[in-house]
Amino acid sequence: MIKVGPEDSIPQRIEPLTNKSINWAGDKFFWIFYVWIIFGFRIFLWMIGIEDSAAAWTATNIVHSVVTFFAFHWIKGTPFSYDQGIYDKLTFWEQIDCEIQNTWTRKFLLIIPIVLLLITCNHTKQNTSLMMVNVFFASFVIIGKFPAMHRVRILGINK
Amino acid sequence: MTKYPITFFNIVTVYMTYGVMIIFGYLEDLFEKVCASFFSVLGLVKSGKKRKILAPLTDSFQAFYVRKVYGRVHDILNRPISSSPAAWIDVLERKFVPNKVNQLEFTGKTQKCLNMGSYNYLGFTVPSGFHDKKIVETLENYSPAMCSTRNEVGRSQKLIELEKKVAEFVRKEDAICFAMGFATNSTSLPLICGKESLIISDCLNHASLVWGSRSSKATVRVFQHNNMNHLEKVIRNAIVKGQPRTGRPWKKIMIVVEGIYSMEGEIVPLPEIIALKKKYKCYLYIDEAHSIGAIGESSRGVVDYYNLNPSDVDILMGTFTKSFGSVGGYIAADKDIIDTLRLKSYSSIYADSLSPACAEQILVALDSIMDKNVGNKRVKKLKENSNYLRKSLINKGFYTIGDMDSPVIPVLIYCPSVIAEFSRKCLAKGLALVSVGFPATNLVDTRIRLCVSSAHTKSDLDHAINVMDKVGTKLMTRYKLKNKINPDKIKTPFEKFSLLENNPKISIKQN
Repeated sequence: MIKVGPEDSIPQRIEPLTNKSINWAGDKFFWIFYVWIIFGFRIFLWMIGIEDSAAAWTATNIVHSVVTFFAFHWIKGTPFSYDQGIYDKLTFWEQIDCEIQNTWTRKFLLIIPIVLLLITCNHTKQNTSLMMVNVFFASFVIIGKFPAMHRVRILGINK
Repeated sequence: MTKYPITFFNIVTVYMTYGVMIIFGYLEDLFEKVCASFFSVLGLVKSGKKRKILAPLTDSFQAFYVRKVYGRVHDILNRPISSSPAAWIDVLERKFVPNKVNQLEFTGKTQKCLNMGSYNYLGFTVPSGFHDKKIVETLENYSPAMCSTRNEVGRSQKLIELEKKVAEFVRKEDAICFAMGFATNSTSLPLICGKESLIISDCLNHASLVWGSRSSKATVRVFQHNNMNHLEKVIRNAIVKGQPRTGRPWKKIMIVVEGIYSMEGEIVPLPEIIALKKKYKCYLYIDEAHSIGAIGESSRGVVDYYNLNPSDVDILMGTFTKSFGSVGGYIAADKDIIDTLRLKSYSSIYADSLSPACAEQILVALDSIMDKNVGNKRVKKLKENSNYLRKSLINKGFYTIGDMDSPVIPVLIYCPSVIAEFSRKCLAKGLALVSVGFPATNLVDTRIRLCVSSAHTKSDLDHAINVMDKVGTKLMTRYKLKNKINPDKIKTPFEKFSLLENNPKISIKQN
């Protein structure tokens, strides 16, 4: 495991968030929207006609894991160039709240995939191989959010 | 984040708009890659193998944002004009080229629109261009550009005259003038705050102040916008803990704020900052880019607006681009600070100095403002116009932010696609607006920023209100309709702080 870059700034809890590409993650309406869209996707699958609850929840879990892994843990930097590239080596997850760990935003975003995994395991109790697939996909997203994985790039991928 | 007066459903649709734009953007990119590889296999298209040898030109995430999100709405930004930006303006029409992506072409027509987007606060920009013989004479007698830095051969007579006049106008001991407003901040802050000092700046400061703070070797801390309790906490924390690793006391603490914040339209609570500054013995730097000339009874800026003593503020900075119809910026302070800036500021050493004709334009404008009989006319008209427009918009139900008396009126329209339609429809009806979106503001706080001018007549403002009313009704952006505020009950910043006049810590200037 390779650590990326030195830790320059001492996190200050009194500093307001000036990184405009991230500070909307702490917005409570965004949390409500996030939960709503996960359940909305599940309901959309029900409306299409997929009756098998195990398959539908597995699909939701996999889509959620892939999309949030890509959005939170793969894409680095900010969408605009005027902040002179300070955040260029940091993924979205690492930039939240000026790199302070264990804030409420991070706790909420960590709980959501765990709860989703629990619901999915509940529905796929009989089907062990499907459950393993679920755990495999969700583990990427959950392990990536641990504080110990801050600024860590496994095997140098996405440095 | 701002408190949302609108429903949860509206905010969720804003996030969904961004989600849809991003998802469709990625799907289009994926489709393009698949098709390109498919066609290159068939031999119809050249493969991109050679490109791997060269370094990438743009970062892929930034390029995605520019192509897919910004590119879809960029016809409402950077509109070309073909007249001087006075109260009415000629906008060149553009439309998207039919089979190309994100390209615009001119149709050849121009449209005369009411200009609510230019910083023309005192109305010195007139349709005819130069309105004074003196400026044409200066252009003929002196060269159009100095082509030299201030410390070499660039110190023209007009520049010396201008510096004296600016110091007299702002009521400080001395002043120095630069050729570019942005460069005034970014080249002087590194000199003013050195290695062992602390800069405490408002979190919504302009990019020039951020650039200057970062280029200086000082430590930078940020306080929440206009929140005096938080500022006090930050100052106390800094003084108690000292410098980051050694714990030694700071050499100086400089509080950096703006007079009027251009994205929020709010006026800085200056009496409270001065009281704090005196209590903790810090220094104060005010960037009066939008407030010089535009507020205050004699249009001398935010210090004049609150009737305070200019010697309480250590460094006053301003620009000539907004209210005076010219270019450049100035810094006014005590003589020894200004002398150091004259010698050592990066701009004095490396940058071109202010052109004499532009300096003459500012001198003519200053003469007109400082005239004893009619000097106040423009700023009075500006104040009436901005209060009238703000009150009318609040009565119609638009969610405007900012303080009374400020000439900048932002109207919040949270969704990026709605704001694009709003801007296009208003242009079709003859109202040219400036819309501000994500990188300059928060993700969901996209807004339209109206800049009032003293050259606008009441019928112009009525035209603007009518157009915005119709378009706002159609696009359902009149968010404050249900719980209306009574605009006559909103206090101006001066009224809020007039109670502090009895505070012995703040010295009021004796007139």
